[in-house]
Amino acid sequence: MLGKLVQFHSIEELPDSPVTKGTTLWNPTGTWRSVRPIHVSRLSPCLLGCPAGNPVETFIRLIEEGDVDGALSAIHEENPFPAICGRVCFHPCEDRCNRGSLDGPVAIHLLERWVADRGTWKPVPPEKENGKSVAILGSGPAGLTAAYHLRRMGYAVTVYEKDRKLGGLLRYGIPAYRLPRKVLNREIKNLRKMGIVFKTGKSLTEEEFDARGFDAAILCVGAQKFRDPKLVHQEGKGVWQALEFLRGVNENDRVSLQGKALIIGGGNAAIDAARSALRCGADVTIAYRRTREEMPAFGEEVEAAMEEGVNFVFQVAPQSIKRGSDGQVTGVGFVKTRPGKPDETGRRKVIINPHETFTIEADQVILATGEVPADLPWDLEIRYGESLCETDREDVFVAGDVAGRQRTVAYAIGWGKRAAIAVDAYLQSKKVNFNKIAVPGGEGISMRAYLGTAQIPDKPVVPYEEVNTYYFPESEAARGRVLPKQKRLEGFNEVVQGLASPQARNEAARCFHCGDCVMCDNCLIFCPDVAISRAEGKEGYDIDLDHCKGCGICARECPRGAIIMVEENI
Amino acid sequence: MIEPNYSIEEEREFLHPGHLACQGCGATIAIRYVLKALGEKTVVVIPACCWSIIAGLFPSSCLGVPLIHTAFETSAVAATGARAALDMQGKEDVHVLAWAGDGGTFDIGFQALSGAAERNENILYCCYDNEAYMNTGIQRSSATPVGAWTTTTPKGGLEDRPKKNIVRIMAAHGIPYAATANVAFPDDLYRKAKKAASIRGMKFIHILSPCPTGWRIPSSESVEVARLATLTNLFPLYEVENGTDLTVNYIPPKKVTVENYLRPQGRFHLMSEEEKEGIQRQVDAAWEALLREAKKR
Repeated sequence: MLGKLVQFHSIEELPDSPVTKGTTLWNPTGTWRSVRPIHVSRLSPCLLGCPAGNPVETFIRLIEEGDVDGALSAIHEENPFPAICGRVCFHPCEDRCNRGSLDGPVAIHLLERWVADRGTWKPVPPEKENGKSVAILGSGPAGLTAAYHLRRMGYAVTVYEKDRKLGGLLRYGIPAYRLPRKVLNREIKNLRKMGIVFKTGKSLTEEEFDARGFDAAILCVGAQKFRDPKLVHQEGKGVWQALEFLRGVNENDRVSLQGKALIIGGGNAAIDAARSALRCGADVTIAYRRTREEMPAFGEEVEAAMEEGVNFVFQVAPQSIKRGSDGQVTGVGFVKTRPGKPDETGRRKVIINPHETFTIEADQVILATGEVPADLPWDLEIRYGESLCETDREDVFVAGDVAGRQRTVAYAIGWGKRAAIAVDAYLQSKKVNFNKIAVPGGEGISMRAYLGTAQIPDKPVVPYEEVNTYYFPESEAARGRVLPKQKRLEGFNEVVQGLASPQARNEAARCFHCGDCVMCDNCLIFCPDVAISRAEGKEGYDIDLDHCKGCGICARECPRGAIIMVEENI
Repeated sequence: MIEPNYSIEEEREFLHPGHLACQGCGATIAIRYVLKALGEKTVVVIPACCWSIIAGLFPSSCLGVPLIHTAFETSAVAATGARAALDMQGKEDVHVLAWAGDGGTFDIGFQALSGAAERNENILYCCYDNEAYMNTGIQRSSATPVGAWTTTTPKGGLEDRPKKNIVRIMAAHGIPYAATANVAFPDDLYRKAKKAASIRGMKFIHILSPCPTGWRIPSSESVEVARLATLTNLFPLYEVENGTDLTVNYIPPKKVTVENYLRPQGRFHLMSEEEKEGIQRQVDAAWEALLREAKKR
């Protein structure tokens, strides 16, 4: 804001001695400027990493402000399962976290878990029913997420689950030591309270769907089809498929396993099966065709399995199941392998050396050689359109593992959300630009952006170099306490414990809040032209562009890259 | 609530926008926090220096307090006079601030300054140090550090004499308070000015104030470079009370080499690696000596 210039129009007006009559506010030093600072909201790297589209930075900020319930509600805008995700997700958000370049990423998954365990969020039916109904087949993470979001938008939702209990892979695939059943039940119960109807032990045929007058359906039947390695003498007792084994364990709490169990495979199902078999009393070995570094299983899980005493044999390919004269399994015949040239995906091929054969003794064999998407229950084909959820029928959609691609809980949650948006857009005849509501350069999609309740920052992600690390003294990332090994092997008690409240608050305080102004006042403090002030009556700052010379100190001193300099149009 | 990084309770501003400092000038940040500490009952005395220009043209001033412009060598003695005049009128609660650059303090005004210190005049003398005569075109002063380029440094263009240790010289006068400060540490600067205001007698604060033009750095980096001066221990923050009681006010959390301070600045570009290593050794030795002296208390 410019001030008045004092001018003398005659000698008489001049003072006796040269004395100040006014300020320099009249002087528009803003004209010196070639670039101007703007406070912006920029993408934080964690947001790019989350396939479920969790508002990571936002909920951590709410924790820091002491609003745990607010933090939980913020997550619930995008993801109905923070307690589950905080436990089972392998946190790709943390791989992206800028703090990883300083002293270790913020333990986002532990904060999400803490918020979910300590905060309160009240599930309520929608204020208004919109009169339309949707059928969802399958109650895994994708199906339940789609049901949740559609219900929030006012749809009558019925979920059909062919199993006795709800949860799909969450219940029958993931062992309880990673996801305690009471946590799973708690988050599913929330959905019931919102008025979602569940039909367990039931499926729905296409004819029934048409006959019952549903407006749309989403098929979320998962990927449980066994990828058969077809070993010699594979048929017969003593050989399990990994998902079948895990289902047995998870349905009955435990199965009794004696002797040696040999797991074949290197994915997460192999590790889950191995650690479960260990808890059932077996002596466990995992045999994998490639090296440890090439295992698709998540690193932390592999480490935990090693810690608990699972043996690993790498670079071996199974050939045949060895059986005794009574038909009992006695071992598995292997050949050694070595890495070959990379294929078109960059992954090295496995070259088998048929002359180097050997046998590993085993009483039980669990085949964790992978799964492929289930066949669609209805006579339909998937047709990936803009939402990645379309099929031949315009009123039938797919979501989750059945649609292929990346198969983790977080992806399934993101996909369920996509399907909910696709259904709503179809039924309300809305045109949706999925690029507009997806996180640019990231994995997730934003329900808030779709509903128009929040915007995804459109400014580029903040790289580590733009974080002013002077303001972040080094500190170690929080870790969840783990049960001692002996306690772990006694049963299926949860291995990793959550954070205590002071720990969680400290951990939240480690967040850089990349690209999000938290009103730290640094820009105001260091402005040589006193041209920045706190905005009146709202959050944020005002910049006095009449006087700002565009030096750029504010942008440089912003600890978190929330100010950018843009060129003036001169 | 997320706490701000700095806590300076005075919300009023005594430095107004529209002043004539270059983009990114450290000397304006310096006076901003000193005046916040001293408050509205302050008279500022400014000799010839950058600030003669920054303050604005007659009849405008960017300072919200009275300001006397005076000759290059006379800031301390003019401040002495202002003090005497105020005291004669019974206005003993008004602070007198002499505000001079490094040329007017280390070189040209030194005689008057030493005299005022010796008489223990009740004034606060602040030197905003940008390490050369920047206003007139980057001429070397006795505050210019070893290895810096200026427009008047012979011998291949580099300063070869060490910077005068002005705070130790002032402390050697036995004055009640002498301190260093840095614009990149505004809370420390504010606290020191407040402390000085509470002490009767001669107070001296030496404030490192980056000059993007003369230091050959982008204006946006001026605070960052100034901060590095302290993080590398090249410009430690300390205060000396009554000539002997030394307290180190800031200990960097981890070692940062002086290379990090020298590299971004164009004025040091002509230095050889060997010279830089020499500076590192001097800085390490001086820092150790400072810590030893602080411990002796």
